[in-house]
Amino acid sequence: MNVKEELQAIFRDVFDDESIIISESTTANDIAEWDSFAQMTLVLSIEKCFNLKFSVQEIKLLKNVGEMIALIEEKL
Amino acid sequence: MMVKINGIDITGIASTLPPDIKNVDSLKLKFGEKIINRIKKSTGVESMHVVSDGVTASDLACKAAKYLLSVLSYDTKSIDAIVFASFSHDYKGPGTSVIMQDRLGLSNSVAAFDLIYGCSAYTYALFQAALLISSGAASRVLVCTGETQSRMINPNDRALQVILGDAGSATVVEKGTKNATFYFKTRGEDYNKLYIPAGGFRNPTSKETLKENVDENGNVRSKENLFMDGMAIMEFSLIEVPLAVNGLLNYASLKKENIDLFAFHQPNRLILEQLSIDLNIPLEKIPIGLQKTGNTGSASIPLLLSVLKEKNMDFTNKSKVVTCGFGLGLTVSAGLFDLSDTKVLEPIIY
Repeated sequence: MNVKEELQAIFRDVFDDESIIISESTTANDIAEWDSFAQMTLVLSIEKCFNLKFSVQEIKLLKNVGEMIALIEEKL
Repeated sequence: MMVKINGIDITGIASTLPPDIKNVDSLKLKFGEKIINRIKKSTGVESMHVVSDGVTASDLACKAAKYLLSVLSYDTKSIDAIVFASFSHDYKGPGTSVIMQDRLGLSNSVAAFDLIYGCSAYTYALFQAALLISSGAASRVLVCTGETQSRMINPNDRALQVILGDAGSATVVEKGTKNATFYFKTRGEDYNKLYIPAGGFRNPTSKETLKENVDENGNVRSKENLFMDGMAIMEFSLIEVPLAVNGLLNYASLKKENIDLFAFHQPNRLILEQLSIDLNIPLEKIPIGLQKTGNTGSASIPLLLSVLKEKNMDFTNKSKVVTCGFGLGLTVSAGLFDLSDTKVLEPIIY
């Protein structure tokens, strides 16, 4: 399973935007619509897709998509 | 804490909605079409009823109470106690229950209680009523909820403008033959995840508390507006609700399959669908009824029941109903009730 590819598909679905291309350095500032609802939807979608659970603290410490990928891989 | 109380009947439930409707789509001009469409998809809220200026929680609850007492043909003087559970009080003091006693024409000998809870309020209020009855102090208790949350959120707080609505409810609880089981949990250490930071005596009103600030998501609010840490509340809900439901059912020696209906507080569709997955309970048994009302805080569970009645739900086969409220405090309350003889009324407009 390629975590980055799966994540990209989740991002595109959550933001309803097929043009989104994520990279390790992507942050919430790069996607204008990334608000608290998007964050909740993203987290639940990622948990469902990879069958894992995050804590709020883990999510809050993430600085970019690269760290999100690393956290997912750590939990898989 | 868990406890079973015998001899408690819930005789009737009524709910009130204010006449004004706010369509979430009307916020597209202010917040952007794409964002609102995406949020609607997540929350499931299409519109909500909101009060006009000057309408308070007791106005909504009074209407529901008068309607319910009239349908049940109960004399107001037969009420021994009133419990009013809300986060939107008419006044800083006295409590709204005494206002209700006067407005409803209840006897001066009633005991009147206010419970300051939001989304978890309803089951707390039913518990208070059950305690009054089981102690022998009361035979018939009026439980009311009411929220005017639309008046405590900033007009430019996108996160809350799209989900919170106003409503009121009334429930009659009385001495009877059925049983009620309760579960409560308090996480006061997280009180500041969902609260109004100023305007009380800890942080009195000042120019500073009225100043509006913009958060990282672009939501505007002052310290006198309702604040919610959405991620923290989501985590709280997804951890504590399964613990509450499983704890309650274990205590009652019941399995999820034995339960006819899980009437949960209605925060948003995202959380309810996730709870359905995490609890392994089909969505048909955890109904989502917030499409036209939004999240109505303390009124959300009785309003859900009224909305389900409007959709022709048959309550005569609902002898095992689990309620679960979660939020302000942070607190979670769950209850197991027999509603098979309960007169559940469709929502009425204030």
